[in-house]
Amino acid sequence: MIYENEIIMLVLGLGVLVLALSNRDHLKRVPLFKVLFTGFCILIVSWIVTVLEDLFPEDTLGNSSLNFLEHLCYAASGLLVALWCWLVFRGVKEGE
Amino acid sequence: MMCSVGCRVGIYLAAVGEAGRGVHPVAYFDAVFLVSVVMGIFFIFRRGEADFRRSTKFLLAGLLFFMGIYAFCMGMEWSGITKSLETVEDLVGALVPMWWAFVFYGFMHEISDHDILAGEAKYRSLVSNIPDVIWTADEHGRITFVSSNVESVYLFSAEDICSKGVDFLLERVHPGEYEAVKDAFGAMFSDDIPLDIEYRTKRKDGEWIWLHLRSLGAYSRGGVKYADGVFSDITERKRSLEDLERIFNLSGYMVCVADMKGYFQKISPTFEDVLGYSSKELLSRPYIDFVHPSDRAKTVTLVEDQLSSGIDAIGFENRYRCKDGRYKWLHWSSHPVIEEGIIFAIAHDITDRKVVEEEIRAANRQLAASEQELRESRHLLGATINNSPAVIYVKDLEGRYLLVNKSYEKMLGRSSEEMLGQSDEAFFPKEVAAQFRANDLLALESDSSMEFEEMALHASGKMHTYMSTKFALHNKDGAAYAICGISVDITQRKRVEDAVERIVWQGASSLGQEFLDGMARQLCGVLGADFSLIGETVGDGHNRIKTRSVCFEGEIQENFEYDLAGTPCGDVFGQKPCSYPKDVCRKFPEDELLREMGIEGYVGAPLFGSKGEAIGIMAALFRDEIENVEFAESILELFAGRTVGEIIRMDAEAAVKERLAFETLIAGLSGKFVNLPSDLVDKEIKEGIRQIVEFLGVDRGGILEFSEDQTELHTTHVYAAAGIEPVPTVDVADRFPWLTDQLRRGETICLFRPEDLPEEAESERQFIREEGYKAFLMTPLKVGGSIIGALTVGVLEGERSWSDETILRLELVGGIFGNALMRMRTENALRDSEERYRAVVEDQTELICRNLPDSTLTFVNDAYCRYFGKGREDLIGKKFVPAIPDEDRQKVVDCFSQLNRENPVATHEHRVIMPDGEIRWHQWTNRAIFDEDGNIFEFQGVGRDITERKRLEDKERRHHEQLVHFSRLTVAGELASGMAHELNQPLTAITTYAQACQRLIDSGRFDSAKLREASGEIAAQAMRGGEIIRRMRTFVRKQNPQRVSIDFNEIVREAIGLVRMQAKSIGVTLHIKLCKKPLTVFADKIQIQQVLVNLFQNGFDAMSEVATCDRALTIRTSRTSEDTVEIAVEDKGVGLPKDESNKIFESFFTTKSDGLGIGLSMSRSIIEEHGGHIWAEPNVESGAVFKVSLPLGKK
Repeated sequence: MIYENEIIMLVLGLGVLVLALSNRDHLKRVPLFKVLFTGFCILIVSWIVTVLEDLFPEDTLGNSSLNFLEHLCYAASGLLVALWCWLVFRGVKEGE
Repeated sequence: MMCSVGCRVGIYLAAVGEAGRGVHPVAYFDAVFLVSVVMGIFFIFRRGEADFRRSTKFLLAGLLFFMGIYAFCMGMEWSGITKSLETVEDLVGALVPMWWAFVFYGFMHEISDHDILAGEAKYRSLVSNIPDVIWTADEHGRITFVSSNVESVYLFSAEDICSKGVDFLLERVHPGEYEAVKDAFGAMFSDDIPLDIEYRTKRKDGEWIWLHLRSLGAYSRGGVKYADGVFSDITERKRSLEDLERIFNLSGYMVCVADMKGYFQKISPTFEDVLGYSSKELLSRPYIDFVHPSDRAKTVTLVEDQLSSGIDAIGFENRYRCKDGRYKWLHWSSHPVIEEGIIFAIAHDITDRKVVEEEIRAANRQLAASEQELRESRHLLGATINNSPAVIYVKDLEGRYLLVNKSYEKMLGRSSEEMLGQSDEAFFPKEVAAQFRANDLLALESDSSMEFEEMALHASGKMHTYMSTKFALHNKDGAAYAICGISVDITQRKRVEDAVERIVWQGASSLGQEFLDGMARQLCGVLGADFSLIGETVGDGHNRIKTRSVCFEGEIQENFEYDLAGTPCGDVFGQKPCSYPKDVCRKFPEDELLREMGIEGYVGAPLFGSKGEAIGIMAALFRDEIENVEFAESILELFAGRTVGEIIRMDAEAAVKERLAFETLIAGLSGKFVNLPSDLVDKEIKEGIRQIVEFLGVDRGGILEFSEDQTELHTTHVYAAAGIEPVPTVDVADRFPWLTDQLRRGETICLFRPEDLPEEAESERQFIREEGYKAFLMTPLKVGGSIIGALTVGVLEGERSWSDETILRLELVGGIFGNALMRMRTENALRDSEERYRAVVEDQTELICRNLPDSTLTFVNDAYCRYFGKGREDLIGKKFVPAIPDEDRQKVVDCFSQLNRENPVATHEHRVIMPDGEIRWHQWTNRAIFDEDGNIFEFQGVGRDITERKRLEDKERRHHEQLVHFSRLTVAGELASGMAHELNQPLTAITTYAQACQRLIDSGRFDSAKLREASGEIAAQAMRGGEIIRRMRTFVRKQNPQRVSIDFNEIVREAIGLVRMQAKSIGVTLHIKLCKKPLTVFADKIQIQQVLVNLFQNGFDAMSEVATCDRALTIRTSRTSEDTVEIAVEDKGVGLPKDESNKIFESFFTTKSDGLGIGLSMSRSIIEEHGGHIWAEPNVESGAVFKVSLPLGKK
């Protein structure tokens, strides 16, 4: 069963992705932007997987594995954002 | 807040841990997710190293917060604690991606701000470090920005300048540049002109500094114009340039900078002073243009060599052209700076030095030349003195000769060696020598030269007269040391002067023959001649001389004639002065007169007339040899010149007298023939011939006249001098064909002797010989280009030459005689002609007269007199107008007044009151007679009595009118039935309305309105009936024709009205197509209606055999041309009779059984009287068309 909120979340996320890509020349100048952007992209993946998950009936392997992957991506995304905050606010520059 | 969040996460984690084994594995991932974002928030606010703005930090924290809520909700769900947070999860799940967008936006905004700040810092640094002052001002004079270094320039702070504005800075501009700066600043804003100007301005401390102000132009921002620019302090540069310029300008040298292209780039003012050109002229042209053409190649070579070899400095000289065209020498020092492509050069004017050098060289040359000239002059002076015909000598103060020339040696017959050192006493008589000495002393005492006439004995033994010019010679101290004399022999001149005096005296004291005699006498006296003569040529061949004056030994002798042949005069006549100093008799042995008189020497000069023709000679004869022939010839020429003048004057005087006599004769003859009656012409011509014969001194004269046809030539007038037989009259044309032919061609026959006649004139020659003519002259009589005869004169004795003047005179007389003869002939012919014409006019039965414009009669013929029963004297001078009745008088006057050159003849008819009161009709044809200016001065009339004709015409007219009326009555008869039917309608209506009125009255219902209506209708119908009758009465009434201007359509309509009922009764449909415009004609309405009604009825009759349904008559009027109206009546009847269609308009021709045959003939008569035409032609479909055309016009 496909949930509307998940679709909305995915659409909004893809829209933000397009925004970020179109302004990537500016955003590249954000310190260690690649780390932050990777975290955002993994979050997008998790939302995609969430939607895909709904294509499988509950309690099926596909559903379970995709759900697992979804939450795994959440966790990875959160870790990367936290890592970016730690690195940036600690004063680490690009390439260090 | 951080603590609170941390507590909640801790509770959650504790719950997860406590849940233990029943927890879904993904809840652990959610826990990791939750912990991560919590840590992230911690790092954001714990560490402050990153240079993010506070707002960005909060955006990041917000993102992590919402991601944490999301993780927390998922964890609570998947950990199995509660599912009640699902709604929160969904809501926050949507916020997360949005918040990511906020975060990215925050980053971009912060980056942009960072860039702007970095850029601003960079430009601020640039502005602060630029030495020039940067400014921004607007069009209102506000300075919105000025860089801080302005203080180093103006000593005012940037704030001060911004607050005070542009006007403050302009006030500090130097007055000399104030206007320029202000205008440039204004133009920058108004016209977008870039600003670039250097000017002086005053600093805060009062010191003047130079500024260079620049701007690229104005731009608009927010509706206000701004301009950015810079200014820089250029005071130091200006001062350096001024110093350099001062040095450049104040240098006395010509300092210049030139480029490698050959142009001056900069020149010092000295250039202008020296060369005269303006700096503009010098800078605009290559400097080589100013160099003297001869120096250009050298200058170019020197400059090129210097540039190629790299020599630092060279010096050279050349000439430069000044503006006034002169050239000046300049010495140049040039220093090229090849790296900069320029040449520095300094020049100075060395013309004066060059001139001095040239003057020295010229002076040296002149000195050498002067020495040479002096040598030549000495040689020339010696040669001149010795070769001069004048006597030249130099004496010392004591009178001893120091120098004598060859002429003096010749004069005294001594050598110079004999004369030098001697005084005059040694060579001249004592008195003469004393006179010479006295003259010498006078010249010595005088400061200037003096002239003396001195006489001395020549070596030839004769006394000569000299004109001596004497003057003192002075040494270098001014003291006289010698006397120089130059004496010219004027002996001959004295004699010539004497001769001239005699000539003048003779001319002043006498005239004519006395003068000639005096000249002959003086010639002998002056030349010492024994015999002198003045002769004039005679004869045509110029071979004889007749003397006009002869002098022998001082006495005047009788004149004589001699042949020129074989005499010395023959060599002189017509040629040039000729002389035979001796032996003239031997040279001319045939001249017996010379031998008889014992003449030895002869000198003669020709005499020429005013036109250069030879007229005679003047000669002097000597019994001794002529000593001085040249002198004699020159004296003779003087005498000859004056003598010729007197001879010409005498001849002219004689000619004038003779011409006067001839002109008197001509005037007399002309006056006599002017008004001479023709019958006296013959007599006076004969008298005239006599006078001519006597005047010319000839023996015979006469006139020959050609006949009218020029075939015969007869002698008509002859005269012979006393004792001479008159020439016999002969038929000249037959006997002398050559002479007659010459005359016909207008040739003058001029014979000096009979032998001069040509061979073909044999009979003429024979006649002349028989009659004894020696000379003969015949001139044609020309009158107006034709030759009517000839005037002849002849000489029987001696030779006679006919001069051109004589021929001309005879032609003049011939002209007078010819005109008189021609006038006589003309008058005779005129008289004959007048007789003939008189007979023609007087024998006429017509009345002929001539009258002036005011009708005064100037001529009447016999018929006129007989007609009026009056004598000619009773009519001539009287006016004929009173004899014309008043009603016709104006018509006659108008007839005369309309005559002119284009229409000189007119005929009119009018009545005349005869002397017995009877009125008669005349017809006159008058012709105007014009004078030379084209004005009428008289009328000629030929008239006849037409009373009888008029009476017949009147009678005929009355018959015609009666016939027309009769014809109209016939037509009216045919119209009667139609008219009756037409009248029936109003009568019926009247009856009906009358009966209705009666019924109303009888019924007792007295309705006044209805009665009024019925009675009104009765009146109207009665009027209609009356109108029908009136129309018919008018048509048939007999009345005189009366033409008026009337619309043709109206006539047609009334004519149709007359036949309308008839047409209706017989079933004819009328198609009426009238022209919409009025067609005015001048016509008798009734007669035209008669014609039309006749045509309509003919149409009705023609259609009587046609079926009723086909009966139609079309009536059409139109304007066919500018001045013609036409009506066509088309019927559908039987058509025109074949082969007889041209007869239908003849009288009494008819195709109807009951017709009279006068309708159409009468119609034609009426129409033609109106100047129109009537004709018939077949209709296109069937029937006939009758057409009538009438002229348009009001009268």
